[in-house]
Amino acid sequence: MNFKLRLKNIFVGGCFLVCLLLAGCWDLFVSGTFTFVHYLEDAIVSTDEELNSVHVDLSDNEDWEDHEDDIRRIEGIEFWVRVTNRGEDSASAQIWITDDSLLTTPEAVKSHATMVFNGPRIGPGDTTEIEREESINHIQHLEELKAQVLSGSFYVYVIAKDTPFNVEFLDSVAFIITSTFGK
Amino acid sequence: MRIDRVSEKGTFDIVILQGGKVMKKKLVVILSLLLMAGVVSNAAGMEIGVGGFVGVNIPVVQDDASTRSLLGLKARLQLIPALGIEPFFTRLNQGDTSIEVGGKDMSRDGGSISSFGLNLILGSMSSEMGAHFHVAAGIGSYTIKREGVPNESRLGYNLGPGIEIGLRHGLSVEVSSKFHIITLEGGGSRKNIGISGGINYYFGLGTP
Repeated sequence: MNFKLRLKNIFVGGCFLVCLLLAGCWDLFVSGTFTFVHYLEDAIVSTDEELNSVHVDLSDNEDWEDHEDDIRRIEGIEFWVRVTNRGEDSASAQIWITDDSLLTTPEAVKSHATMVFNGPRIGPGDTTEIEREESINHIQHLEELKAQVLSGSFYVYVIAKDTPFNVEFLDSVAFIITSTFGK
Repeated sequence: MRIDRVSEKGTFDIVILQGGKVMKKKLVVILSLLLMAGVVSNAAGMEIGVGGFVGVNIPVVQDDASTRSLLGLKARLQLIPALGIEPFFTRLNQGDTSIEVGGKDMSRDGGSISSFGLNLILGSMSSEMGAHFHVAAGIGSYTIKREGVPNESRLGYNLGPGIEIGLRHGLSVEVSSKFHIITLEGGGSRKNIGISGGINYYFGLGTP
């Protein structure tokens, strides 16, 4: 077999293999990642005696809804929060998530929910803001958080590390979510 | 850099002390072994080369990464005319991205993707004077790294053309592009286009 014929055979064989790869892995080509922001519209005020939860339903979010049927996994989650310590002692505010909407005490939250954000210590009367990049340092149980976000629906509780507490997450809690979608 | 130990798999683990961090790099040993193979292949009349390259990494349909640089190393062994193999190491750097949150632009580290693997080279590769065209297709292990997220190692593929221009004394310059597809657990993929230029040096100049 001469050199040109051998070269031609190798080229044709290579093209054939590439076509097979493209046909078998089409899913790989029609996918991508998108990032969107989901805000909690209401402020959350919590004390050690009275807890409020906020329901997160991502189907209310247009960006999520556009890709909902094609979302394969959650790549990353960050937060933006502004929190005020309305108590008389310093406190570390925490965000917990769960499917359960009926938790009424900090002990119940700690028993039945997953802590996903453990904020810095805030002095009495102070307000602090934690932006996206900094929030990475405060995120806990990322895999559980991803799984819960992927489900599209969950409840958010805010408590503080120590009791008594009185913390308020202003109307500025945001989940910044990056997902992979594919056909 | 020091050779730390011989692992149970029979490969050397090399420990590179860098800024207080210890990183194991088996790749260095693999390249060394390839160089040794080159000596043997030279005796058998085959060509072997090593090269380095730098360029631009362009993430495709990724909201969480933007264009940045890439760099890498490779070895190249011509098996028969128009067919060769190419072990490679590539680092794809990804630029930061930002999104508006609460009226402010907030950025996020784009991270990087390190990969090593093996390409099949179809076409001409040589340090002989003139232009040589080829297509590379290969498979590798890609490790996605990003601050605040555990590293993730996944199987990936790459495919792309290149042109190599032979100079003298075993040297050649090369420009190539690669389409990288990195599979993700759960489905979907990350896709990056790399455009790079580099220099190759061929040890064996025998005729295959």
